[in-house]
Amino acid sequence: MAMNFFEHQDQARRRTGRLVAYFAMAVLCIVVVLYLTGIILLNWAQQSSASPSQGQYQTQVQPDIVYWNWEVLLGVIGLSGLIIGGGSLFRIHQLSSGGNVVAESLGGTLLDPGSAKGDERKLLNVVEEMAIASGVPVPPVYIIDDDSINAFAAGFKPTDAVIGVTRGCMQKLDRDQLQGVIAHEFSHIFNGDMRLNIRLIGVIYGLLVMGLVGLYVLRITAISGAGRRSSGGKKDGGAAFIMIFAAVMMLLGFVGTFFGRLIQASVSRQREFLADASAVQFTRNPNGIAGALRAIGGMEVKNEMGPRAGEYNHMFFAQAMNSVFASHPPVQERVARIEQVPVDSVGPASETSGQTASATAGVSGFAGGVPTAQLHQAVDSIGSVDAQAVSRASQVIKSLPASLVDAAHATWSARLLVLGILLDPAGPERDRQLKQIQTSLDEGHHEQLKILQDGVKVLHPFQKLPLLDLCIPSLSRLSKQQYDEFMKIVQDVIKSDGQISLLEWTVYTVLEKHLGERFEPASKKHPGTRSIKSLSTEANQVLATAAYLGQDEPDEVRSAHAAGLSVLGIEGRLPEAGECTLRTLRRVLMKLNTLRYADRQKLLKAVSACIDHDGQTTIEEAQMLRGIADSIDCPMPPIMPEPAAA
Amino acid sequence: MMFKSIQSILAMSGGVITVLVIVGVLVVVILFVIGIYNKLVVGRNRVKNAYAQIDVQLNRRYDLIPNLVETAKGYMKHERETLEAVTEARNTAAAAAKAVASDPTNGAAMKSLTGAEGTLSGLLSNLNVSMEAYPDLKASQNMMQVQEELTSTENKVAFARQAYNDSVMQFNVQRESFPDSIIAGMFNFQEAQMFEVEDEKVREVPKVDFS
Repeated sequence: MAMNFFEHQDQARRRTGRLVAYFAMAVLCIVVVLYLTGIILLNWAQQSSASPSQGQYQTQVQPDIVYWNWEVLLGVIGLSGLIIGGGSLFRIHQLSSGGNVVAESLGGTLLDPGSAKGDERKLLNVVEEMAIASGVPVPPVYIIDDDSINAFAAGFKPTDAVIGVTRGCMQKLDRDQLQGVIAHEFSHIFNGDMRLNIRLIGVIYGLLVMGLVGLYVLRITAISGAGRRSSGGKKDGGAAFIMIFAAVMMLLGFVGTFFGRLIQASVSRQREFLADASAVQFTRNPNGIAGALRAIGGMEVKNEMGPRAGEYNHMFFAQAMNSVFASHPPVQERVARIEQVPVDSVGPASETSGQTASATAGVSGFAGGVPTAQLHQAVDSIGSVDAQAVSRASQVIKSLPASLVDAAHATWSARLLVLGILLDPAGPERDRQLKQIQTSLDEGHHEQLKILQDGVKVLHPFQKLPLLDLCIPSLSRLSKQQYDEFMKIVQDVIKSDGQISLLEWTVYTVLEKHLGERFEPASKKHPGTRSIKSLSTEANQVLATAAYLGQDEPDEVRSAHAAGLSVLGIEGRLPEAGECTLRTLRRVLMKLNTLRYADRQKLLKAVSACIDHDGQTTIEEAQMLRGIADSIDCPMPPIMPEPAAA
Repeated sequence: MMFKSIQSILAMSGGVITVLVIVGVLVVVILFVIGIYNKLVVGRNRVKNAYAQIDVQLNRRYDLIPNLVETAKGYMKHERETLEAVTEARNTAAAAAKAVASDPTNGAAMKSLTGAEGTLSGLLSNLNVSMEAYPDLKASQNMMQVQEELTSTENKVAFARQAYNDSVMQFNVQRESFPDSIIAGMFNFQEAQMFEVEDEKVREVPKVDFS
């Protein structure tokens, strides 16, 4: 995997750009063909009306052939623009409204982490481990009621992604295979495939709509034309005219859809190989994903994922419909590539379920500080996971008290758990915080909150963010009103002492990013094309804030800030400490969310250079980096101290 | 003659434009309809997913009630009828919940669940009142534990119900607003039913007073 997360994201955007160019050319061709059709029909109509049956004008000259007609051209441009462009934009807009909308329109049932048992629990555990290892909040998991083995990831970007899994997939695969499938889907999320997919679906939809419009117009005119003929009218010319035009439209639309599907399939097949390879990289266990693929190949059941699945074909783990437009490479070829053996040697689905010794090092305690090397390593490994991180994530989850994990899994208590993370350990400060929120929470809540806070209090600081990540899927079930109420309480707690700590800032940022965006319109999402130079004031502000937080001495702050600036290659004045509040940080990060991804990586590198300029990094500073990365849609792997020798 | 042919060309292209405009309008209308339809489907699925949360808590509650009755039986010799009524109401409610769980958008089933839940809650608070006469029972460790769990489950039911009702309201508002109402009518999107406990008195969580 030569490319990293940032390059993949940018590439997905560029590919999307190229796609738009192809699309524009296709529309141009369609316009030309439709124009020619219109002109030919026009000339034909002109001739037939100019060759009258009356004898007196028999000597007349044939009228000149018309090549150029503005009205036809304008009409054709307007029509194709309206139909194709409108159809595409409509579909893209619809799909961009978040992964949950896609999953819900496929009829998925949201898996409730609180009540999941058996297979469901196993699936959620696998997803949670993978999410925490890669630094994204745990995505909501949807179950599609279908016996085939399949899975998909949907969403416009990592922050609003959801994972969908068929019941068959959940039940028939063992843990390693399931982990392979989930890793495969996570890699789709990190490689920007969903963004590309949505555009592809949109474009093809536009062409399809044109074909359908042609078909319907043809049918309607045929019916009404037949009616008119039977009533003895003699205005067949107009009807025939429309019918031919509609037929051409239909033909173009369907041929366009055909080629669109071919392009879609070829793009998709490449992405599947990439995702398979990433899955192996994430889990270090080729047997998992290969076993899952063998299971699919061996089943040979017709995968019929409902009527809409054709459109979403390439989003799935395996082909949802069998057709020549294979969006996925043949299963045997995929297995062969994973196991690095010739295709012929991949026998028909034998039951070779993967057996690997999973690392189960006992967790006895964690060391304190964060090694500086790990900070940079974390920035470098954004959007990728290694097997070690997964097993470490699983250890972290296991190290959390069961009562807290249970609380994180239920919506009702997950809110209180978040408040518990935010509350001060004890003393008058906590009492003031509790008093602040007394009116918003009833008695039952208060009791529970105190119990949960006692549990959180003793946690190691680095365990807190993974715990927050575990809360996200249950919190995503809050209704809009409940979310607003909850966020108000969170704000009250944060503001009660008049200042915002780093942990508070990070928690608020993560919550707002991952829960709040569900309720925002899709149009607010920016693809990310701007360069760091055009946003240098904002970048400067971020670096200055990081420098003030990371260093104590004024000289140190200045040189840390300068170090950060040199990483970015920009110049800037160091603002006063008073100007570098976390509130302004939030505002500038929103603007920086329009950066292109290569520059986001630079920014994160610069920030980490600022933070560890003095050679030491506290856990809070590392967590702030996570908050910044999260704000600009970069999933940052958790920074975890090495487990103390067990 | 020349004039006539130009006129016919104009007439023809005028016809083309009329057709194009009609087709364009048609496309916009169709896309509009599809968009609304999809939104309605998503809204309905949200209602279903939100109900699943309540269902979990309700079932937990139905599992706790037999424990409560069993514990109370040992002490409340003279309240046999009350206890039997609670058990019966619990069974009715559990059956109604099962019917709703299979299709939360079924208004009639939801109504019968709401009714059954109202009865059950009423009986439970009656039971709490009559428990006042049995200090031993109230002091029993087992009873206290069951009551505590029951109270916390009630809290969770109320919370999940709020989320569910919000999603129902959102869906119903969309379903009734113009022009969505036409599409909802065409494709038979039924009105979703709120989950409300009818009696004002039982709206309150049955309080257990151990003082």
